[in-house]
Order: sequence, then C-alpha cells, then structure tokens
Amino acid sequence: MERVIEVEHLEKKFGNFTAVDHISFHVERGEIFGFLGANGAGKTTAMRMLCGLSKPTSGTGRVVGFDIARESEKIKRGIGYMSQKFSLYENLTVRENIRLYGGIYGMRRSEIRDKMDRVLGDLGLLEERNTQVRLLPQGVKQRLAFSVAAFHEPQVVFLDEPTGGVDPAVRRMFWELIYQAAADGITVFVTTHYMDEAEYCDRVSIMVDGRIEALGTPAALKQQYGVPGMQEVFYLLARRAQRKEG
Amino acid sequence: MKIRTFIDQFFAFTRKEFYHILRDRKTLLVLVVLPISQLLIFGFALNSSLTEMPTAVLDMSNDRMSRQIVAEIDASSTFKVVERVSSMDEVDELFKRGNLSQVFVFMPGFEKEIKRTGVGNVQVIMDASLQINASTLESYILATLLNYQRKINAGRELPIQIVPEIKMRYNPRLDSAFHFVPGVIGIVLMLVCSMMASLAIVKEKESGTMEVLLVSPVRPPVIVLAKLVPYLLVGMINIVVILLISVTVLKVPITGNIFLLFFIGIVFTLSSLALGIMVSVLTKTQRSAIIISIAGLMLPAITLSGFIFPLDSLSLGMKVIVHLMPVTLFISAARNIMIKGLGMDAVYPELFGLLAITIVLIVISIKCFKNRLS
Repeated sequence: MERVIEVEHLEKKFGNFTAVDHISFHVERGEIFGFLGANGAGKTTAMRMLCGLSKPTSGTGRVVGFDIARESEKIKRGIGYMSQKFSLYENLTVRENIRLYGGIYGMRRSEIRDKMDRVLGDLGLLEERNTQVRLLPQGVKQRLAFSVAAFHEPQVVFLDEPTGGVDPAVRRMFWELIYQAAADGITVFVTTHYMDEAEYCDRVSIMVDGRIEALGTPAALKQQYGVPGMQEVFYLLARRAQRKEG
Repeated sequence: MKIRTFIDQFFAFTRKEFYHILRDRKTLLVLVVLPISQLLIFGFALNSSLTEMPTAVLDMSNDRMSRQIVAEIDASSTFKVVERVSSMDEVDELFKRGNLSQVFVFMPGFEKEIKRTGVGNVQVIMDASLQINASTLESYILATLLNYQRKINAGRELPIQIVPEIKMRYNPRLDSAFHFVPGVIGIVLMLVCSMMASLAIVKEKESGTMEVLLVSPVRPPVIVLAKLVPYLLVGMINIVVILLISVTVLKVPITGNIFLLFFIGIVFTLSSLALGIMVSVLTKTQRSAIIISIAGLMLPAITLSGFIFPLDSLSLGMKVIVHLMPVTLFISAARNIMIKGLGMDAVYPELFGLLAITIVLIVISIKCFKNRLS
C-alpha cells in the first residue's frame, strides 16, 4: 500500500513546552485514520504541522509525497481541510461557498457546475442551493463543510473534530459521507474525542501528553487492553496524562 | 503560481467579498449614512451662526455718520458694542484681556472724507484666532455696512461707499471659512475606510474561516487585494456623496479641478483601507482591531493632521511624522484643490506620498500575513 502520510520523530516545541513529542506513524491511501487524544494532548498541533500551517521543530514528515517543512505550498494543493470551528461562510449561499472553494483550488467553471449537482444531490441539498448557509441545521452544515473540503478531490482530507455539538444519529450520517469518500480513494485523517467515532475508523492512534501511546485497529487495541470498547481503552491511557487540560 | 490561477482565485474572492458586504445590510447602511451624518454634524457645528459678539468702538471722528454706523452695528443681532475706547492702546489692552471679538475704528474726519470723495473707510480689527468664526463675522460686517450704505444712498444723487478695511489679529492669513471642509472629508473618509477594513481579515480569524484559507493554496496577496476591491467601491461612493453634500448643503465651492480631487480621494481611500487591513492582519480579535483603529489611527488623524490645529507650529521632526499620515497629505491636497484652486503641479508631492504609503502598507500587510502561515 502507498503511504499518503508518513511521519518520523516529529516534534513541536513552544519555548520549553513540548506540544508534540517525537511522534512517528504513517497513513495509507484510502484509509480512515482516527487521531485521538484528550484536549491539550497535542493532536491539533500535530495536524497543523501535517497541513503546512506550522513548521516542525525537528523530525521529518511527508504528506501526499511532499516534505512538510519545505514544500507546504505543494501539500496544500493536494489536501482538503475542515476545522473545529465551522469553516464555511455563513452569509454565502450553498452554491456560492462551493464556487468559492472550487475557485480557490483552480477548478474550471464547468467542472465545478457538474460536480456541484452531484454533491448536492448526494446531500439532498439541491433545493437549498441558494439558501444562505447560516440558515441550515448544524448537522447539515457539517456534512456540507465536509463535502466542500473534499470537493476538489484531494488525496487526503483533514478533519479537526468535525462533528462537535451534534448527536450520535447526526454523527452517523456524517460518517456515511466519510465512508463514501474513502471508497472513492480519499484518505481521511480525523481527530475526535467521541469514542463512537473511534470505532468507525480503520486505525486509530491515541495521543497522551504529546506522545502516541497506542496505535492500531480498534479491534486490536481493545484486545490489547482487554476491554470491550474504545471508550475504556481511551480512559486507561488518558489516566496516565500529566498535563492539565487546555 | 500560474497567473491564471491567481486571477481565477482573485475573482472568486472578490465576488465573495461583495456578497459579504451586500448581505450585511446594517453595516452597509452605516457605511453610507455615517459619513453623511458626520459631515453634516461637523459642517453645521462649525458653521453655526454667531450672536452678540463683543465689539468695541474707537470713534475718533464722532460725527453723524460714524454714530449712525455704530448704532447700526449695535442693532444687529450679531454684534454687541460693549466698550467705547479712545486710543489704540486701549484696543490692545482689550484684545489682550481676550474678551473682544472685534474693534471698529473711525479715523478723524470720517464724514468729511465721505463728503469729499464719496468713499469712507472703516477699519475693523478682528481676533482671528478662531478662524472659522472670524471669516463668518467678516461676512456679517460686510453685510451690515452694505445695509447702512443702501439706506443712506436711498434718494441720494451721488452714491457713497463705506469700505471696511479688515485686519486680522493672531491669525493674519486667514484662508477661508471653508478651510475645515476638506479636513472633515478626510477625517470622515478615513473613519469609514480604516474601520471597516480593520475588521475585514480579523473577522475571518474569529469565525474560523481563515484557518481553512491558510490550509488552501490561496496566497496572501489574493486575500488582501480581494478584500480591498469592494471597500474601495464603497469608498468611492462615499467620496461622491460627500462632495455633493459639501457643494449643495454646506455651500463649499470647489474652485479647482473636481476630477483631480476625486482621483486623490480614491488614492487616499486606498491608503486608509491599507492602514485598516494592516491593523486587521496584525490583530487577533475584532475588539482589539477596533481599539487600535480608534486610538492608533483616528486620534492622531484628528489632532495631528492639520484638521483642527495648524501644522506650522510643529517641530521639524513632528512635521515629518505627521506627513507620513495619509490623512495629513489628503487634507493638504484637498485644501489646495478645493479652496486655492491649484492644479496637479501643486499636489503631486501629496499624490506620490499617498501612493508610496499605500504600497508600503499593502506590502507590509502581505508580508506579515505570510508570517502567520509558517
């Protein structure tokens, strides 16, 4: 299998504080990789380095075939991103948001139009194409934001706690989109602290105090720690944390 | 990056910024109504009518006509004769005490002179330290004397003429009553443009959309330049409205070339927007952006731009500093065009200054923006 993300001894320091402490892992093409950790464990910092938003203090990493320290502009063209905060423009309509992001990634107008019909059809939003995004329900917004992040067919989509504030049923619908994207060959890198979501991933890593303490398929991790669910695996590891939250 | 992509991204972004502005009706309303109301408030406040201004009379002729004129002056609601003096020294004394607006001086033989030549000179010495008042009063003095002249000429074969000879104290080269209007235009344009631009980028930082833009291949120049376009358009509309109000409501004549004035206005708008954008790039919250644009941009603009206080008295170092503010350059250029009627050759230092400052500010904004990416 081809490795879309590959990281060796990645470290990020802010002054004396080591936010990310020599982590190493890889993600294969088409995989759904769950990047778990308590708040303050360093997962957002690690993800920002992978996206080219911040430079590592030491260590190396390659994302979609480019070096994260030196070729971040090339990486940006090959990835999609959906942030913790809501990432669409609230006072733009569904169609305008899609056209804007399509334009940012250099897609042709005709290409944008064709793809938009397909995507909105899948989301059941064809009727809402001229509705301003702020008027949509939270769950719909999040699914739209994901579809926009994957709209330009990136090799990897990074999702930073994408399903905050919605109930499990809505999260389930969101994950159907993720599965579909993965089936289309898009690699999904997702941070979350909902353990029901962790169960949906192909593989997960769990970060504690800046280090990756566990990595494997959910089934393997549950077996390794002898517990019935990811929730318990997570508690066992998170209890070791020295750092305060935040 | 390919030029095509750059242009495509630029248009995609500019369109987005237009949607933002047009959908935010309340802000749009503020952007258009605020400058109008500001201009009217400033305009009328500084143009207010003056009544019962303390006046002294030094009548060295003391004849029928001089007494009639004094009575005429006293009868008008604008002037009130509070003192009669008998020498110029007393006049000086009164001015020094600071409670005198003007003195009317009639030289000996006032009426005799009129009978001989048909022309009588009244000397008026004014306290012009408040230049706006002084020039308004000047027109009242002219009107009062003309009024008397008309009365006395009724039924007279040879018309006589009363000519005031006005001397300014404390501010001898009083330029014009309309001196302040270019200043108001500058301040109002800057207020609107810098404020709205200072929120433009920081707003996206707060809402979280900036993070997505940073992860996308879009480059800082596209984001910064696309933000400027729609605001520049709003600024241009404001210039047109402000000039219209200045001419029609405040009755300020534009003696120079109006297109030149409009052009400089556009360059000035651009520089104010660039200032705001720079604030927006350097701050993290909308609140701090607003505080910085009020305390850091507006206060110096109002106090140090020559809008209220003349710049002549500043030290050389301060003069250089205040001339690095776009608003100082604009007010100076606008006064030259509107009031003195000067042309391009008189304002090109200001024009090039404004262009240079704008470019520097935009480059700084783009550079600092880039730093945040890494």
